[in-house]
Amino acid sequence: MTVLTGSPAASASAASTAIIEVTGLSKNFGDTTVLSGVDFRVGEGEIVCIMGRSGSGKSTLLRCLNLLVEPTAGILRFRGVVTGSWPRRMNPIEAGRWRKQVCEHRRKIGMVFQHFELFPHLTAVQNVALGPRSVLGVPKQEAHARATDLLVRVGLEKFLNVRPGQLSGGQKQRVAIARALAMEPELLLLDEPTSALDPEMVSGVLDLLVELAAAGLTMVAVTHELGFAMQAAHRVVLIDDGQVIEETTPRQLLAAPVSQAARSFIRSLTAYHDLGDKTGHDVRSAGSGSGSSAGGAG
Amino acid sequence: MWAQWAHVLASGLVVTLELTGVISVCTIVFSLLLASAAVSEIKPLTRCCRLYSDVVRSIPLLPALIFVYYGLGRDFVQIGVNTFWLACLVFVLSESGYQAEIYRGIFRSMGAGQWEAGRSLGLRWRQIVTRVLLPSCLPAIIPVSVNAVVLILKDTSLASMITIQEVTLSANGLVSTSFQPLQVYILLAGFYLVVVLPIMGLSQLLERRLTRGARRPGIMLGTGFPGARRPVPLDLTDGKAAASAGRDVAGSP
Repeated sequence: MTVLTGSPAASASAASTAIIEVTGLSKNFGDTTVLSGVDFRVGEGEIVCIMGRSGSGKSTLLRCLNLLVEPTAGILRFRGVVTGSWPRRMNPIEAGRWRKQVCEHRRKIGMVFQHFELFPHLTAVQNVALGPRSVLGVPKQEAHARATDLLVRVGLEKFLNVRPGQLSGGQKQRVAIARALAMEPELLLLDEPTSALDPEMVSGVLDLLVELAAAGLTMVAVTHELGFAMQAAHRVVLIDDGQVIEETTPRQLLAAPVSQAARSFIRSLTAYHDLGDKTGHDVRSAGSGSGSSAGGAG
Repeated sequence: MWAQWAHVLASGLVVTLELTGVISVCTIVFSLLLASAAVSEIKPLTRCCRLYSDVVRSIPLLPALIFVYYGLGRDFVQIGVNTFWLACLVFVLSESGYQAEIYRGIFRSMGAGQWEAGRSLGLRWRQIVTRVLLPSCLPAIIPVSVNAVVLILKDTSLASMITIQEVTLSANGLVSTSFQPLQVYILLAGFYLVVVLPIMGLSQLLERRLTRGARRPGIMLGTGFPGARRPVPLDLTDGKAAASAGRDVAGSP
């Protein structure tokens, strides 16, 4: 229900103010083309899920948004202003200025990784406070107070001074989310945030993400969690072989995928959920088969 | 006789230790700088560091020492650099080629994800190196560095070729006066052992200390190069983790 009411409003706002937008985005690693000519935009307050088979280029697309991966070709805009366009050649002075600009750009965009990537030598509070302290220049005490607030918000009040080595996967990922939020990002990128978690930890992290989505945070998530997409996403972008093959609401994608690739992808995602039906179907077909053979014999 | 030999070797050993101390400190600092530059985003800098390592590692240390001493020694003396410092310079330049590669490997394997995490927060290269990379890789850096000290200590024997009165040259001197090479060199070997063994013990102690603490073995092993799929860290204390896993779900609202 929320999805249905949310999506037209979101697309309307997307038309007026895109937080981030790439056009004609391509990326080659040597001879392999990972992305070819992707157009992608995210509106204010929008939750977008990027889905696709592994190796389809979805993670690379995400990483191009905060320039962890530098595009081979394309234009990147942040709130309508061109951040960079490729292909480009730079002299050393321009390159120096560009690196500064990239840091500026990244500071406005939070990122959560599949494998958490917490700083192992720092406690949870220090992990969360590091960004604000070093990048935003927030004084130590203030940064720590803010970090503590955030960790309490993500339900880790008992683990403030614990190092990542002593946290479970779910707890680590919540620290990582708090770390990204501490920078007060205008956009949060999530790279398979629940893929490395034990099944019983997934729901806790997803609940947190849904909560953030409800609070109006703009998010782009690479995920295989159909449930999360259904519950929170306004839009799903399906990527295959480095191209956007389908862009629609999660409900529509599930109900009526247009392309063949989308259909086979949805089938692979829902394979386990269909297991009951399928075995039932198999039993029935086996039964009818034996019945018909019995009929033939009789 | 033995006492007199030991006295001579001991005075040589002091020079060896001086050499080792100066070279080790300079090599470790310089190599860390080189390695962190080699993993930076600044492409020309990265390329220069790689080139430096490759060139330096392809030059054998002994000919390099002889070349600099006989070829440039006089010029260096004129600008006030004596043989001791000249040797230090050559050693540092040469050893850091190897050591930088080792540190670079540590940074790339252990630090790959953290590098990305730091960058995604908007940290500058210098900030990532000083606040994230160095402190988090310290458990791997320290044992490797102690090991480097051992290697350097043994390599300083090459300085005997350019007239530095360190312990090997002292032994050579004793041999040429006493004509008893077997005994003298056995004593020399004893001197090296006495110094090196404690350092190695220290290295093992540090390694055990550092891997036992906050960092679990899985994190040391479960790493990969950028782009590689990383294995989930091995969890050797699964009992506790499982217990906290239960809490994790129960605790989530």
